[in-house]
Amino acid sequence: MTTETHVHRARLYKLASLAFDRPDDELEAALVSGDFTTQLLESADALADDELRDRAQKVAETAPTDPAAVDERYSDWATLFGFEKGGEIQQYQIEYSPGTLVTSTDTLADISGFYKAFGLSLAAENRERADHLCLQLEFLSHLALQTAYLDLDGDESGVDIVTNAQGDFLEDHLGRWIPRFNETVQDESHVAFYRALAALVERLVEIDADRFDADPDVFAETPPSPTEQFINDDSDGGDFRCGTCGTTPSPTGDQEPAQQLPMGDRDGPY
Amino acid sequence: MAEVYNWQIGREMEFPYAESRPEKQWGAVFDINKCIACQTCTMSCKTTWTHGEGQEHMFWNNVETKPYGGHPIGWDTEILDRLGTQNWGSDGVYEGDTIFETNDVDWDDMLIDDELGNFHGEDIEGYRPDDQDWAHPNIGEDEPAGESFESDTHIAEEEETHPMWFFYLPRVCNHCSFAACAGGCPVQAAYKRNEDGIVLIDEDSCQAAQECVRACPYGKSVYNPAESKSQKCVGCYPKVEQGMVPQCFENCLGKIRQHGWVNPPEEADPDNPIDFMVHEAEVALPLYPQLGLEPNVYYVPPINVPTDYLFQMFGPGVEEAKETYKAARRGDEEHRKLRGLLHLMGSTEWRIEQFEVTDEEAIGYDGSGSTVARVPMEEPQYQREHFDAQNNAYRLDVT
Repeated sequence: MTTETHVHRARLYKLASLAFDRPDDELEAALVSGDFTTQLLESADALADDELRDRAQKVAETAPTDPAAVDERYSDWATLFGFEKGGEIQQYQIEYSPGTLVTSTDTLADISGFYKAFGLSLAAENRERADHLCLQLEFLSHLALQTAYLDLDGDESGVDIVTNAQGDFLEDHLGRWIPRFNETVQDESHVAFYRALAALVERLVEIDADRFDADPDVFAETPPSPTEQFINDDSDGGDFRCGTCGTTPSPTGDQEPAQQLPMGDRDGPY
Repeated sequence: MAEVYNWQIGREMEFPYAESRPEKQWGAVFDINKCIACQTCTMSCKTTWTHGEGQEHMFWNNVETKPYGGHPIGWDTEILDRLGTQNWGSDGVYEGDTIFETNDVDWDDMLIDDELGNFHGEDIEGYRPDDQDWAHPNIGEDEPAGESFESDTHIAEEEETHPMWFFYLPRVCNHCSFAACAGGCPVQAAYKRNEDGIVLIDEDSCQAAQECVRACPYGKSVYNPAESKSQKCVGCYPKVEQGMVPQCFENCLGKIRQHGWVNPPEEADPDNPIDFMVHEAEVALPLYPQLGLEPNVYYVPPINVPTDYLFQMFGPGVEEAKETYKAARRGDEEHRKLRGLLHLMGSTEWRIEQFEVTDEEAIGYDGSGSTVARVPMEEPQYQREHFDAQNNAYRLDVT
């Protein structure tokens, strides 16, 4: 991995974050000037992954370039993701995980902890929840850029720290739900631009998970019934024991004095 | 035979292990008469301890409607059916079999080791709830039992019980003195802490045999399929170690819960709130004592409910407990101390270890003797005129 690789990664995450956010002047300027597509293609090309390159190409082909088309994109965004038009595609990690917001406060805390550990906080005017897609993408962009910077500086332990953080964040958070998010966008959106963008992010996260040896446990398509995965599946009347356990006759022999109930203390059982 | 003395059933009984009591025992009293099933306890526990993957079906604290509710479904009728008809003697000694005795096993023949294949506790009577049994924590909620009655039926204050009834039963792990989860675990992963009697499962030792799930008749040991470990209520030990009450106690809106240490009857301290209610006033009773576990959560029985059902649930002391509670509620001088303590219940997040009732107020002290709660014996009350002249209207509520 070269320093440039990380700069290009950072740029892709940043562009994806910008494009998935509520369309604003910054995005409009980038699209209309053509910088958005130029940079996107350049960075995807630099990462030398054919699939990524193809998907970036698709984004470039579907990206609006004149102000009227960008305006229309705003309307699309609102229909898909925005509350103002009842958009139903969720851009929040917790919506793809089992449980509810109330029971997932630990997830929010963990994500916030990642941001805090690298000295990041939400801009004062930004009231978004920590598990929002754009925040997570921007966070990875920041770490990627920091990796490049530390790499240039020859700070190996610094590079280790930000590398591990990217692996952990992909494994614990972004990598767990982006495949589900992509599926949802493909299934529920007819807007080619957002479909292409979701597919690009999915590939980017996938190759980065590989890059950092992360092995994210992707959330199930439908959150499982609470008891579905019990190893003791009583539906067929089966017994989970393997057939050797529990069938050994208890050895008989000299009677031992009765043992005490297992006791312990703050450090665990005695 | 490994015989232990279980004071709740008034006799020695058989148990897989020899008697071994901790230095202190985590205990609790729940006043059922005050519970409104708001489930704030349930949520405070859920958000603190069981919000992870694999814990979706877990409610270490739950509140169920009796007689028809239950989580896991039918945990009580299942175990009562398995034990069959059993009797209490007129002297208050239980004559039937506990879950450790009903299968006529000689526990001394059991070689207890930490071999997973040696299910030494498999003769503890019990069952493992079906997957679906964990999926309906609110089943039966607010469903009444008893006789139907006319809409104009008047239930006099002195009436014994109500013709149609239900009540809410809040439940946590009982941190039993003779814990069946610990008795049944083939690898001794379930253990009791010596300093506070809290029963825990050591997750490093747990081998997922689920014998604790099968053996606990209260359904309070639950399997986590994501972690491949069994898990249970931890008594909020990090708070208890700091002298505080567990989450479900602190957050109880109805102030129905009192946490403290409970002693065996011969060591009872009348100024300890739990000992006072359990051993002195005898107004708080264990849940299904006949199962033989010596559970350490005690309940003030609901006074509107027929005694036969409560007798089965709380044992032979139930009639007297109801009378005592009613007397304290009426303001009988004889039960003034109990009335003070009932006022004090749930009034602080600190564990009240000693209490006293003066002319004016009830006062709670923590382990070091510092005052942690103070409540008046009489709430100041303002009574308005029945007729509101200003608005030319009669007031329905004047206090």
